Amino acid sequence: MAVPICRILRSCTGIVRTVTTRIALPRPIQHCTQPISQNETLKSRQIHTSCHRKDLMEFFDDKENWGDSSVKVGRPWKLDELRLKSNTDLHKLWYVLLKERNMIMTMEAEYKRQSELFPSPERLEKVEESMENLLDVVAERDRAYHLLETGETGEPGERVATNQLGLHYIRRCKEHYVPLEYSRKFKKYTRFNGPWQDKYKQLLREKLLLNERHVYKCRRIVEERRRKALADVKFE
Amino acid sequence: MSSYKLPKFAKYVPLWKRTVPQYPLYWKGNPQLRVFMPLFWMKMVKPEEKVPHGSVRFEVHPQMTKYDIKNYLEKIYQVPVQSVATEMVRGKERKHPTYGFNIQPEDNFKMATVQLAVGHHFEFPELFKAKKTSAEKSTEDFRKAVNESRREMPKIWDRMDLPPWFR
Repeated sequence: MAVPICRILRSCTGIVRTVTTRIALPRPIQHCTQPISQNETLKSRQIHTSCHRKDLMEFFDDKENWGDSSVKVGRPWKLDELRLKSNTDLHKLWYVLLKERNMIMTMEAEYKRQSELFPSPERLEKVEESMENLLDVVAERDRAYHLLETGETGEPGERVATNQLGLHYIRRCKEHYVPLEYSRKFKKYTRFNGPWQDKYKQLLREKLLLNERHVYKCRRIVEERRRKALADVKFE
Repeated sequence: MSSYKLPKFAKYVPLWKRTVPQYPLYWKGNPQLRVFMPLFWMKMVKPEEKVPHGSVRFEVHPQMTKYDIKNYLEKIYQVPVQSVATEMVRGKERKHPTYGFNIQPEDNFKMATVQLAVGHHFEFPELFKAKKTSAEKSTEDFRKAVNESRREMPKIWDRMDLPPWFR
């Protein structure tokens, strides 16, 4: 069964269409006299989707859907489906999704301007979900590649940094032209840090520990009370 | 959605609202930086005032520069661009009806007016040209109801004070 081209085109635009449109019905077995090449062309013609250039009209939906109360769409791309795809396919799909999202956003803005109800607004979320899944798959592949080549994930790590009060905290690493010791900004920021802060740090630590102990004590008292109250109760 | 990426106590921010990560630092002599998967979005808006021939207006991601917009249109949409002008627009503010303070201001956004190359032109299409808008439909319904009531008025003028079920 030949699927109409317009339907296939829509199926490729970010959201997978319903199964009936995606999968062609089993065709009857063709006669042996038919040349193989022709058979192949028939097969390829079913999947073939040439780029339909519309320039700036790509920011708008099909004319059939203008002013409709609802637009029929399928589900977003799943992670497992995207894992099967090659890098080039994912790269192409990304741009398809990007165009689809732009289209939905423009249509939504126009409907809002005309004070009309936008049909099936969940489309945007569906496209965004498939986009995020695609980004996840790409990140996975990137991580695997880096682990194979260098033994490390290519992501920026974390380091222990000190703030102006001399307290330590964890911060994500960032690229810099100058190392930390030579950066003027860092020096300016931490110029007053020194051993004079140790006294205050000690006091802060003491305060935190006392607070912790207080919480622990309170909890213990409550538990004891509960135990006393439930001493006579027999649990089965 | 990828749940493991989300922090513990944070509301979900849609992808188009998120900040675009920084470019890697460029050192002289390195190969040119390229974006393989741009996270930017653009949406076309109808300009409120009259605009010159061949100029199109977009609402774009606030981190987009003029060069980004130009490359975006030329590489992805294959539309030749002559020049781009950008402007940050403050979101509208509403005032509380009884107390004077502002409530729920809209987000600020970046507006871009793009001048297409010579010989290219684009007109913003009318989506509801043939079809009736919801406001028109509602006014029609209202008029129909009014006409019907006027038609029935002379028949039941003496029973108007009764509730409609007993007329």
